[in-house]
Amino acid sequence: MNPAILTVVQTVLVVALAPLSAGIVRRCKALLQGRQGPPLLLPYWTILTLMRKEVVLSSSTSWVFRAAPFAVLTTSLVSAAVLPLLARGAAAAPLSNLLVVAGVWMLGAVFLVMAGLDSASTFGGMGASREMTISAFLEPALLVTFAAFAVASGSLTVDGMLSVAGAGLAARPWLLPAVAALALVALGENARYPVDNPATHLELTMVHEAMVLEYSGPYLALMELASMIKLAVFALLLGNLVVPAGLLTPSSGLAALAVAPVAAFLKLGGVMALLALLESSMAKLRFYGLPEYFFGSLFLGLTSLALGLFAGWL
Amino acid sequence: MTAATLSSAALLTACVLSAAAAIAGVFAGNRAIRRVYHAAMISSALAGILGATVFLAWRLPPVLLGGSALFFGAPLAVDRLSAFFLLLLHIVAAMAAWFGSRYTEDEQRHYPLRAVLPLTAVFVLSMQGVLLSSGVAAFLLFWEAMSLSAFFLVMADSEEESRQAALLYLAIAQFGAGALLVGSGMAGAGSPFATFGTLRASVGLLSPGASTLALALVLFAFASKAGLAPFHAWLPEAHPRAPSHVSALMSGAMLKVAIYGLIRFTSVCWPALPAAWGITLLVLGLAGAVVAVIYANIARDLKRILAWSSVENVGLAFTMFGFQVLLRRGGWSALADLALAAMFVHLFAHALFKTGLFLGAGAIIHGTHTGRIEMLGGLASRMPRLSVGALALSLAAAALPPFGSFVAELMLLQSVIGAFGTHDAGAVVAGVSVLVGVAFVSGLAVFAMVRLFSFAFLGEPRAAGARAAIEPPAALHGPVLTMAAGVLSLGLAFPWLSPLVPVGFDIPSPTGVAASMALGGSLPWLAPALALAMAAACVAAWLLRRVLGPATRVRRYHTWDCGQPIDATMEYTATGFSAPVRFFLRDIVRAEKHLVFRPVVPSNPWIRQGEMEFRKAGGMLAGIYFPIARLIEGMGAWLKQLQNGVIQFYIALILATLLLTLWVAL
Repeated sequence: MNPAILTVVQTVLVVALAPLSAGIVRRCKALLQGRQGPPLLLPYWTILTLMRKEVVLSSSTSWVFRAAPFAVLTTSLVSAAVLPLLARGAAAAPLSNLLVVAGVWMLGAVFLVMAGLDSASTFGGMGASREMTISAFLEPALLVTFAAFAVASGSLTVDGMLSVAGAGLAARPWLLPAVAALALVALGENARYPVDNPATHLELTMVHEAMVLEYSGPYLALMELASMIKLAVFALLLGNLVVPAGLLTPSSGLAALAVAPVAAFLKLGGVMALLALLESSMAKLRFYGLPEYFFGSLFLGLTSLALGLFAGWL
Repeated sequence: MTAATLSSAALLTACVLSAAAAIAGVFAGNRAIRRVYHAAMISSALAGILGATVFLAWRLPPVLLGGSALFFGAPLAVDRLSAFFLLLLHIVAAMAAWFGSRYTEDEQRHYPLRAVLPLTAVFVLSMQGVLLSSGVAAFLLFWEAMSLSAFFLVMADSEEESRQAALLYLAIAQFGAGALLVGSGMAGAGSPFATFGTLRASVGLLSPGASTLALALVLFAFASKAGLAPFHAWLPEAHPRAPSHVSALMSGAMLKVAIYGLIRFTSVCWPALPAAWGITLLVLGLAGAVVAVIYANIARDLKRILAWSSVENVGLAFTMFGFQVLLRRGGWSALADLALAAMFVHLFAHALFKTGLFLGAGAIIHGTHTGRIEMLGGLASRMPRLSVGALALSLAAAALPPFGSFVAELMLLQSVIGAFGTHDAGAVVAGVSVLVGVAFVSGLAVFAMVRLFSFAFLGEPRAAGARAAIEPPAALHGPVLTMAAGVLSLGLAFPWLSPLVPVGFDIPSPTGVAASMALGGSLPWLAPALALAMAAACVAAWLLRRVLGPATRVRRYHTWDCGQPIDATMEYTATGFSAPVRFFLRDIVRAEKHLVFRPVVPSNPWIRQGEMEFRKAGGMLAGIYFPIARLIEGMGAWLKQLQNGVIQFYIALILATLLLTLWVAL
């Protein structure tokens, strides 16, 4: 299959599956908490409804506020296109260089923060300050973790790093702390427990929700879709690191095209169920308790990197 | 006309024009002459850009520009290294001149024209001279002229704080110049008229101890001028005090001229720097960058934030340089070249975005009469064009893709990961420190730059000045937009611009640029390819919006206020925004907090009045610089006892000196 087609197929499927993954995690959480929960497909309807609603724009905002949803969605789409989520060796795979990926995610966070500050509301500013702190302090952990995978796989692209996924992880047990570190980074980057509470109704504890508080209608839909895509991207990336099965490659035939979405759905479902379990079994950390979280994930990544470099000597 | 003659003629013209501008600037009272001055400054910079570009693009061999009778037997000359820095200098100078042509007119009351105009021209001329000198004496002469003109420019507004900042700057600059004089004198075997050609031979004759001392002195001179920690204390004081276009010249160009000096002297005299120096520079650079980026998050004045960010970026440049030295000592030339190329790209990108940001800060201060970030806000809707430029420049300063500064980080990361593959203990440990340090610094740099942009441009204006602001005139926002376009195209056009990087110029390198770029493989193409992907994704996002929903009505309403009217005083402040950084890193940024409670009624201790004073601890200035100053003052006071007014004592001293001299001489 043509690598360019692979990129397009992967991007479209990830975007299409993203609201479903949000639905799964909500449903699983409800089940764990003894509630029936919302229907699985509700997020799709939420986005479509929001798309048709009127926009209420704060009179304090500027062009940055209107550009931010598109910028944030752009960064989500780029990460959905370049990372090895459903396909390896796709046309955009060389762009999954670890610094590029980290930079694209940071760019999304930056626009989100600016949007939060542009609304001139204290809640927006509070959320923006926290989000910026989380993104800035998770940056070293993210890069060090990716560097550990780069040392293991000899590749600078995340696409190449998948060569040590699955059975490769079992052969290199020193990579396990890096997988854990990546999971911690993923929770922080996606504003989930224990860093943020996505279901909170108390503005004072919000991070992500506080920044998008002033958005409405289609702009809110774009912001929500962007964060759902980002969640799906991280889930599939972690899933592929542990179980790199069912991925499309340039040499795979049409039959694989039918398998790949199913495999992706299963991986998403598994990761989302784990996320729901985590979110139902622990409390959110105090914001000022987060340094331990940041430096913990950094040291997990560093442990892997150091062990990997040491293993290279032997 | 050959490319070589065109290039040298253009560069000479640039110098002559800025010299002419310096003379014209003296008669700044006359409006017509001022026009001539600005025209001369702009055309000098454009000529310089032309000359340097032709030199680099045609890959010319070193060219001599002038006669050797001038400049103490060492003619003006240009090679690839100086051409790279000349290009950088003239781009910054062109923007500063364009901006200055309007800014100096409008700000006459703060910055007297007859001082600022000629001194700026002398400043530019002396930087051109430093870059073009091929001998030690001329280099030192221009170096001193550069320091002194900058000194007077820092205190151009004759405020007490500016004067203090300028004096601090002067003291450190003169310490550095003294060290450079002694160091280069030792290297040149005592001859002040050594050329860079003869210097290499004479350094070889020095004893190892003397050679190391000379190297230490030279490194101190350039590091203090460039603002490497712990010699950076003057930089955040002095750079913000100068007029904005001069701040741009100081941060954008002068720091680079200092790094040019460092590379020039070390490549000529000590081509194989010992690993210990590599480690020293790496550690100082990284530590300085960490501290500076934290202070960039705490500072509350636009230009001060930018000055701290300059310290941070210089620290990163020294980190790359030190890392490069280590790799070269280990024999990994290709990796070393990549790290060195990363430093050059980083310096170039920094020159572009810092110039743009300082000029942008100048335009904001011009329009709102304040540089205090807590008094700004809401400028994005009042100064839309300036805000677009400032946003792009802030993202570039945060080293985000796809800007030129991001390319530099990519190259550094590539060399770090390459170093991991060498299985050399030193290279690996250095690589891990660089990786963690640079990642930490770049995360906080994003924080600082987002804070800078957001609190100046977004939300509601926090004071009357910002509320009344309008778009600044074209001469003030034009340079900002130009620099934004420049640093963006440095990233997007990097595959075509990378041959301009002067790696492998003089340091013996078996591989050269081509090989180190090949090591990167697709590296130069990453930024343009990513930009393409982002453009496609942006179109896709727009289509998604159009397909999924109809064009909807937009209603304007005030921000949600929980039923209680809100105003700008309830907005988050810049200080509050970066409070987590201050709190999380409170072991690095120590603060002094004084709480005093007094009971209102003596009988009841619970009803009380409180006073809280909170300020950051003295830091470097109080910890290191002031004790040294006190020591020198104490020594001065002690020596003053000699001056007791007894003439017999003076005659006895003269006699003693005479005898001592005779004894030493015979």
